Amino acid sequence: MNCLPRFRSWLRSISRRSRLEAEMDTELRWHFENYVEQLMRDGVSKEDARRRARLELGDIEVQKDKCRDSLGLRVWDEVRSDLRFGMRALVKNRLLTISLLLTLVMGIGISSGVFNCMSALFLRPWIANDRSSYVEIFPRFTMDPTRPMQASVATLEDYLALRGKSRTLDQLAAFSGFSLDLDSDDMSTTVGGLVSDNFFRVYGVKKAKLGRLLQPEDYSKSGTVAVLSEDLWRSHFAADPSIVGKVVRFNEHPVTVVGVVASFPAGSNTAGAWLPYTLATYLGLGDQWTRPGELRWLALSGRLNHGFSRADVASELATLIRQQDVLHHGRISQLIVTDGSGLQTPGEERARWLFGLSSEFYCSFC
Amino acid sequence: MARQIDLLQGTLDLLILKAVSLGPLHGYGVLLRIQQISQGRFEILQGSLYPALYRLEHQGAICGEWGESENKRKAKFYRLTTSGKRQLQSDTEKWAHLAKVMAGILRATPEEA
Repeated sequence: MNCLPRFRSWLRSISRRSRLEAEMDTELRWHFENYVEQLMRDGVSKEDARRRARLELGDIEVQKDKCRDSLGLRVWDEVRSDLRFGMRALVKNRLLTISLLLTLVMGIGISSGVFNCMSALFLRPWIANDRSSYVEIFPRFTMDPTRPMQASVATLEDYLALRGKSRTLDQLAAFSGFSLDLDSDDMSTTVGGLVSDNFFRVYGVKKAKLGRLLQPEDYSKSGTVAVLSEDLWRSHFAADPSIVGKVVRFNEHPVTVVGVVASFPAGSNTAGAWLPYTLATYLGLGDQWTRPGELRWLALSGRLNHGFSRADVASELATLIRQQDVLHHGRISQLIVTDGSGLQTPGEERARWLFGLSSEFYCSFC
Repeated sequence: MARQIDLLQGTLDLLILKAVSLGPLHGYGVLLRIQQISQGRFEILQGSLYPALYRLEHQGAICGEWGESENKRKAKFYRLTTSGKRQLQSDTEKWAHLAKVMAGILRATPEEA
């Protein structure tokens, strides 16, 4: 059924309503008069002819109603008259109108507010730009097939293999948070992040506010450098405009500041300063860097390559991680690919419970 | 005059399309033309005619234009559109097929059953 002619006819009818009504009236009356004349020509008296015509054609107003129905105008007329009636009632009862408007405003405001909160907390990743291409990858593994898999993070060896071989991912970054002791008398600490060189690119940071971002050259053994967050730069270094190039002490080790970046949301990978992951041993955080195949310490996040979906990534990474398992006798691994939202994050049962309870509460409240 | 036959449900639209396909007609003319073609065997309920005309116009099968009638009065003339021609052809084929099938069924004898 083609709806376009119907829609056109309906639109024409409502836009030229008074003309349509007049024409309908003329047409039906013309028919009535013609029929009366014919009956009279056949020898019926004028009075009988009119009565018979009325009987056969029916009441003209009823006929018009049927014609309007044929043109799809009945619903439109009913809605219009209901609205008119409603508006009249609202104008008449101003107090009721005001309370209704307030109820609506509050209802819509609360609904959209609660939905926005829920969406921000549970349904979207906490990042600033292009959420559609963002992925987080959660490894699970077991060394004993009879036991359930443990949720974990990635080894450096696995990370490098996945990053090097993946075609479905445009970027795959690694992050490991640590407690960063600042070089100060007040013994203050912040969260530091040991990251890969493409970390900032994954979170949409293209350039530094001051200085530069981390570069592949910083991952050589001599690269003891750090990029500060704007918050830390302001709170701890008094927004020193000449901070770039200065040597600061992190965990009692000298580190050269190479840049400051403006604040950006990076979900659970937010930190006060970012350093190359190769500095783990230098900062006294362990020898992960020198034992790439054993210790699990890196959280993975990335960006989809153009034309690929998260399902494609999951499928490709499953193959790649099986190849990695071959190198570690007895290890069975799985990689869970998510959009970075709280609801999809493995192990976030609390988030799911909270979401469920909030939804339940909200529905009951409404 | 031949005996009048009750119209089967759904046939009015087809009869209107056929009548209008023979030349532009006003509503009253449609009624007369159907009576003429059917040689008076079909009695169209006048109360159903205009809702059907408006329905077909709404569907785009016919379109109405105002003109002057034979008695020099303003009247709305309906003519078949391209879509209406297609609808008439398709409905005619359906009716012919239905009539053939029904005739076959009604001619069935106990031996054939």
